[in-house]
Amino acid sequence: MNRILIPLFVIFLSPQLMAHPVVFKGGSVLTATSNQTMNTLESHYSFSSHFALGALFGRLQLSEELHEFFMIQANVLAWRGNFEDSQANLYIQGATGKPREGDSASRIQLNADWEDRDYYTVFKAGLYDLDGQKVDYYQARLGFSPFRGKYESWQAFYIFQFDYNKEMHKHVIITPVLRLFYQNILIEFGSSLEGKSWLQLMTHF
Amino acid sequence: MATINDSFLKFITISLISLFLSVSVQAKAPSKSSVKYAKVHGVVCQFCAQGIKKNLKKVSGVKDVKVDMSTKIVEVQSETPIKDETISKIITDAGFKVVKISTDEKIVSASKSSEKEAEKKNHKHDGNHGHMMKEKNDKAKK
Repeated sequence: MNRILIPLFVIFLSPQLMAHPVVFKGGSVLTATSNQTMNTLESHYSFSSHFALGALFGRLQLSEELHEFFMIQANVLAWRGNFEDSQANLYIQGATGKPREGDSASRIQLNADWEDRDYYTVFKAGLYDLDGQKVDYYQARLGFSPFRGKYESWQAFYIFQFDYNKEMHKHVIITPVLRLFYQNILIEFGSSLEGKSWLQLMTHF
Repeated sequence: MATINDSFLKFITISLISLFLSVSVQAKAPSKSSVKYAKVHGVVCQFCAQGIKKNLKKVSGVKDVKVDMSTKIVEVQSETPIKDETISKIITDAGFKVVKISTDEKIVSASKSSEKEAEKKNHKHDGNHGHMMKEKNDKAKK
């Protein structure tokens, strides 16, 4: 059922999907990201809890230039701390491929996060290299949960997301987000302070 | 004639009693099942931990898997005992750390304090490294 719902969401609702870079061994994830300036569609398969391989299709709107590209991407869980009441992760993602017009396209991204049952923090930094044109971007997230749900019940987080990219935005974009997840389905929706709404859906199978 | 009837009745009676006893024994026979408990660290997100239940349920003989987020204990119910190594590998492959596995939930629940004590002991007897570091720190303080 997820294999039908996910593509429908991607096509018709233009949601923003963000996947964990690496999930459990044998897990598959589909990612689609869509906002005012960036659209990406990613999928990957986790060969282990430390390594995933997949593909990435993206569209990047920079000023008056539109960049479209296809890349092969590798995601590595560089470090994980499994503590009794929390977990921390450091992911490294690297992708390389070809743009629709041009010779080369690549991306490198770092994700660092820490969370427990009450709080959630993420920091992400990335760099695109599109035929020599370098585009860097940054994102930070800070969230908290109003309650602790059980394993089989749903869970909610209130999150504040901060995005910055000097090529796309002249200032930090702040977006309050509500995250809900139930078993293997995660939904996030919110609206930036500029009034730009967005939806996020994630599932692994 | 009376003797044949008596014998026949005895035969029927004994057969019925035997049949009743055999059914009773089968009904009272204990069902073969096993329960193991695993204390796991890093289980703070239900969405992320779905891989634990999903992959454990793939193991032959596993009937049910329960994950308690508050106690961090994974309960594995199976028809026959599952090896600790199997459970540990699957949970580790899901991206989490197994602290202890036991058939007794109380032992697993109490593993927090015993683990910390074990860590302290290991630090003291760690090839004198802990002792050397302590001396170095003490000198630095002076």
